[in-house]
Amino acid sequence: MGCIEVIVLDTATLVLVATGLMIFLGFVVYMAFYEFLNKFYTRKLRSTSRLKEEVVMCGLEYDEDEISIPVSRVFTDIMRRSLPRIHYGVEKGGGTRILNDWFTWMLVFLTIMVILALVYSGW
Amino acid sequence: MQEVIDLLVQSLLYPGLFFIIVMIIITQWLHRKIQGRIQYRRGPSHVGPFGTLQPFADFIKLFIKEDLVSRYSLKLAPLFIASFGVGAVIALTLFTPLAYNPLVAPYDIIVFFYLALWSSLAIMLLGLATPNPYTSLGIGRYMALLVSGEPAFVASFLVPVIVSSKLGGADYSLYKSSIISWINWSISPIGFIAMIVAAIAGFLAMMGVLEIKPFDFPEAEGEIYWGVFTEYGGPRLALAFFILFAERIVIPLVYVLLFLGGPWPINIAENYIGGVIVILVKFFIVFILLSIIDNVMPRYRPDQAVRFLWKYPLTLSIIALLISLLPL
Repeated sequence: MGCIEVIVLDTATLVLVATGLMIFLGFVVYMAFYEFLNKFYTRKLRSTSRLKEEVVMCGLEYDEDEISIPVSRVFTDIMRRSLPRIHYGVEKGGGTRILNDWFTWMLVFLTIMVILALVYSGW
Repeated sequence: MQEVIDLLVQSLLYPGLFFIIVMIIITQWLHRKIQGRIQYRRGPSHVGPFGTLQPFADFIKLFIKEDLVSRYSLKLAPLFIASFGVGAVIALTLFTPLAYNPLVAPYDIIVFFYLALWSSLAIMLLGLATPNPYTSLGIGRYMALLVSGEPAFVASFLVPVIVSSKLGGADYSLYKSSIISWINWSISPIGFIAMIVAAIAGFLAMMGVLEIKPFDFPEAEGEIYWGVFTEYGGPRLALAFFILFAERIVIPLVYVLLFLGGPWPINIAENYIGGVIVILVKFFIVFILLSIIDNVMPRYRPDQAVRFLWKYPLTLSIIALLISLLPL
């Protein structure tokens, strides 16, 4: 245990290995905790009632067509209240006020940072 | 072939799945003890010695409960999303000096951000799989938190990697940067300024990403009934908690590695066990600090939190990033 052996890969291979490990570990977690521990161990607890499927919306009355509220409106409302100037800029400059624009801006920002890091490293 | 076997053993045992489960039990026990003391309670004290096995008992209880799914929710997708979210967080540990055969590549810090973002997106997608007004409110709030917290998190955590790469040839690798991150504080005044500004911004952004109070408005039990997790219970809730609690271990661990010198003053290449102990001691100090903050702070309103995250951590992290790009 005294010495460390580093596994050196190239960046593209590492992305593939990391994704593969993520899927492998996710599968192990799913099989061990859900399929084995829950389904196998608690088979006897399973009730046949269909009432459990109706447990939704914290016991409130609901209409099937309007069961959910638009997430994007919650998001844009928070951004409008907290950052009125930037929200106005995104709304006017970015074209629309829809949610995807905000995520596009965030991705553009992250990409710029990564490119800056690569450029300054002399790549 | 030996490398593949080593990698699988590491990912399943140490510092992978088994290690993270043990760490979740320890950290959750610690968190609940601190919470108990702050609220003039004893905290967990019955299950196991000093109540240490209480989080494990709660974890098992959730997993063996009956799996309830409403008929409007997606059935299988949330399980896979949550499992892959857990997998992403655990895979991150293999890039750190905790691994005895760590994975290293030039620019692998990008892979760190990719996996860290995966786990955050998994929590968001879990909410989208269930229809409920409170869930929708929770996801809307969580998206606002991500858009505000993630850029500051990425920008600030890039700074020590850039400084280490320019000063010590770390090749923008998380492992190499962690090993030599302590020199960033002492080798040049500009590097020191960049590090201290990034450390402050990184800590605040980390609190946002981990939903530590005052930034826990996507859950806000008293207002929106746990938001994203309103409809979840049993094994599905256990998997969702698995992501949250594992994130609360891995992200502070990376903060320790990049900003607090990692294994310094011990050279982990020569003394592996000593280095790991130093890293874990530093991690527990950061975790206790986060736990105390989480228990004594009130919660921001969503607009207050978003404004704060854009105003201070993001601005500071961009300043630190620009300073780190100057000739050191």
